Amino acid sequence: MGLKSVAVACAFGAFAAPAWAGDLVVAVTTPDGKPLADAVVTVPGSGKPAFPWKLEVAQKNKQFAPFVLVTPVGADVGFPNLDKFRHHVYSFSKGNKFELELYGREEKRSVTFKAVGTAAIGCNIHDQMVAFVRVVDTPFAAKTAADGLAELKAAPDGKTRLTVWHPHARAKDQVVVTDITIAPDSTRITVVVDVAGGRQH
Amino acid sequence: MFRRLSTELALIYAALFGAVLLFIAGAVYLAVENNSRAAVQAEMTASSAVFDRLWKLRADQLSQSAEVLALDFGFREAVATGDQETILSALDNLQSRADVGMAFIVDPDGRILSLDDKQSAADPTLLQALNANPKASGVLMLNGQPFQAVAAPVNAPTLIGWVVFGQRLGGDDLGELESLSAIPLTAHLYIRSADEPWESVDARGSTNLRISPEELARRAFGGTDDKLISIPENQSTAGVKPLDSFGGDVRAALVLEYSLSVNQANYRSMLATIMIIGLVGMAALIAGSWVVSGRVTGPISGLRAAASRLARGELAEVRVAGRNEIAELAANFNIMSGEIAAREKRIIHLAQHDNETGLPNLHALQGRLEEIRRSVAPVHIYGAAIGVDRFQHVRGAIGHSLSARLIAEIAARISNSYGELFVGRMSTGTIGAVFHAESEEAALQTLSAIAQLCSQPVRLGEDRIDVLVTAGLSCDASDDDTRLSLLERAEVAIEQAREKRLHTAAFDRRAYGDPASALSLMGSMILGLTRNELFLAHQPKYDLRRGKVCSAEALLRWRHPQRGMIPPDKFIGMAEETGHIRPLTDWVLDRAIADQRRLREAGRDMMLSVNISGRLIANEQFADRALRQIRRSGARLCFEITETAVIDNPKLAIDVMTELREAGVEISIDDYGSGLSSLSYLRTIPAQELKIDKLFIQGMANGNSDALLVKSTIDLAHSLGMTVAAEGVETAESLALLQTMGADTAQGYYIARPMPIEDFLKFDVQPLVERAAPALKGLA
Repeated sequence: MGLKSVAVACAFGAFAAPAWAGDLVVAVTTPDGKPLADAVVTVPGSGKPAFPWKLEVAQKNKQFAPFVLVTPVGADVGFPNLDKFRHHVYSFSKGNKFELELYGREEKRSVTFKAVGTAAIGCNIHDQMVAFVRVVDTPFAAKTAADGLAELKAAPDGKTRLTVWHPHARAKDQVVVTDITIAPDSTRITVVVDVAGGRQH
Repeated sequence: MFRRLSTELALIYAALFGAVLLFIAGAVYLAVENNSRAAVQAEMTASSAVFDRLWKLRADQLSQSAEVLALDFGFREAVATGDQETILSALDNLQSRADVGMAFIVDPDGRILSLDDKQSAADPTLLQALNANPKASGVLMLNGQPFQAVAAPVNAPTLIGWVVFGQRLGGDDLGELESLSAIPLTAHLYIRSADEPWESVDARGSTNLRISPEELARRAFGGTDDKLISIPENQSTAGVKPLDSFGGDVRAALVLEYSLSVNQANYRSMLATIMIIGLVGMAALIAGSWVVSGRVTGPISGLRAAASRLARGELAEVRVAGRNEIAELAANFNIMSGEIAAREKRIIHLAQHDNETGLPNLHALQGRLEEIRRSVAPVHIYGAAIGVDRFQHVRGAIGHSLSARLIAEIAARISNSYGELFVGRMSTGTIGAVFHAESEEAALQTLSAIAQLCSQPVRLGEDRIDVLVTAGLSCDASDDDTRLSLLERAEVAIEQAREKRLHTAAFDRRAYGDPASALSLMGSMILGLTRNELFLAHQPKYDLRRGKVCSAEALLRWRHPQRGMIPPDKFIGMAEETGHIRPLTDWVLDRAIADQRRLREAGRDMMLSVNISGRLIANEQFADRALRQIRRSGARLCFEITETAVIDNPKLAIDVMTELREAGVEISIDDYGSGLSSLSYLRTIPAQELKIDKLFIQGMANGNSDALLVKSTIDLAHSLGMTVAAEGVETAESLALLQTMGADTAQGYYIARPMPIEDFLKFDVQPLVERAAPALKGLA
């Protein structure tokens, strides 16, 4: 079920030279070539992740913001309520099940995401509110911007496995996995992900 | 066509009424038919709308329930966490609370979790349908069973599955639909998944609807607007309505069938009512028009019957009732009938009565006779005819009307004295009577008395008229071989009485003879000429001066093969009257000329006398022929002509005679003295001989004045230069006397009888001369 994912990997300046790290730029597009935002790209790696973005999912104007949040496993993610009314944030996702019962404006609750994977976040009061928290166990993870590009700086070069996740991807666990080789200097990869556009909230 | 007008009228009215009724019934039928068709269509539409409503209502209910469940936080949690027990309990709870027939969960992979069989394999069709429309609603086939199903997506917050609620589609729903319809509908559900055959469901769990799959598909999904199908087998109309499909290949249609027969039953009863009203109306109309036309035709029938009575000559009177045209007609008919009766009476009277005298006529007399014959034996029935003598003279003297009064007076006289006699006028001068009497003697006695009574003078106004009557009698029983009726015989009896100079006589059959045969006598005579039945007999004439026979008279004789000798006076007179005398005389002349030739050849040349009818002597054709014959043969003939013949046309007769004489024919005046002899004619006729009638010759013997007449006639003739012949000489004395008187020739039985030519040729003249001579000598 679901459409087959198509992954195309291109290596720029791929040569076998001992290098410690290289920058990886992943461009995620839909099959018709449009840039796809909110896709999370990861390659395996060790070390404590330190992401430059705030680990929180705010609720504002009956929407979660951001829509997709990448967070390291075991990190606390804050859920500040910026609306004037209460929200009831929950997730039934496996391993990261939580429920933040009704809490009001300016109130901030936090949840520790213990399991690697995806947690779909919803609000029990406002059905249209959907957000995804992508829990990763690698420091090399990034989210595509509106232009569909994500950059993983200083990723270990050599052969590795590129994982692209998108909440609406038509793939098992919404994940497209591509074997790639990261060049020591910089590598650019384009990954095509088919999304079910009609399912977006 | 019909014998009775009333029948015709009643039938025509009934036919008209029937036609109108049929028209009305037809119009009603059509109106009802159209109406019911429209009503059916409207009701189908309405029912269809009702069904739509029901369908939507239930879909909404299901949908609400499903959504409530799908939005329940706990439920979502259970689904998201795969907590089957919780899910099933929630389904169970909702199923019982919302009265949902069927509920299950479908996960994004198409796996079904339901109360019935917990976890079942993925259903790709279902998943496809749900993917196509997460809130699918419509007909769904599950395990071969039809459901009305709705889906509601379960989002937590992303889609983690669907809640599908369904209600079994079955008889109950259709039954409900049927009960909600205003007209008796039968609802059928037709379902088909993929290419499998259509399956149908109805309220009673079976179907008898017959629609072909093609037809159903075309009507339901073919985009045609006409959703009504006529089903003749079921006598019904069906409306087809496509139903929403839950998804996939399932197709469903609702068929609402309306039985026209049920509908028709309604207006059939209405039609029956109309027909009953019509039949009752028609019966009333027939009865009514029968009665009315009976009132019209009753008098007409009466008139008709009266008219046929009138035609049969019976008395016909019609009852006049009311004042309408028919009554007027009846009144006029009565007047007409009365006038016809009166006229008929008058006609009968005229037919039975004499116009001049008012007495019953011959016809009435015969009618009376017929009446009497019915009760009286013929032997006692008598007819009488009383004739006024010389009536022609009387009538000439006193005129027709007075003579009619005379007859009436005489008849009244008879009636007054003899009431038992039925008296009428038989002919102008004859009164007839029929009566019955014991015997002919008695009848004659009565008649004699009547004749006497009638012969008394009659007073007619101022005039006193002497009347003599002669009466004839005949009996109904007498042998009637004549062709005469009773009264005709009586009339003949009058003539017979007059001949006998009697006042009264009974009919004498023998004296009557056979006049009828005379009517055929001329035909027999002409035939007899060709068959030599007629011949000439010659009687010698004795010349007293020369003492010898020197001439003879040729007399015509007829020997009839059946009737024997027929005397000349029986047929010559008739031949004169009928004109047959001409060929007869021609024949006689030819024969006389021939006989004279034979005599001459035998040495006895002598003059032959031939009798020529007075009517012929003035006939120029006859004279021409006679002269031609005589001249050709050189015959010596003498024409004996009676003196009276000259009287009719003296000049022509004398001219002819003169011519005959010039041709050498002698002329003799025959039968002188028997008629009204005129001396002046005697002088003018160029005759050589005068023949004295035999009555005078025979009378001489009695010594009366006849001898003197004969003597003076002989002298007269001699003085006029004629010789004198005497006929009927039967005795020697007569012969001698004639000789002394100076007669020239004598003819008679004493001398010789007439004889046929064969005898005459052998006749010896000598004895005759010897016989004659002594007689003469004796006298001398």
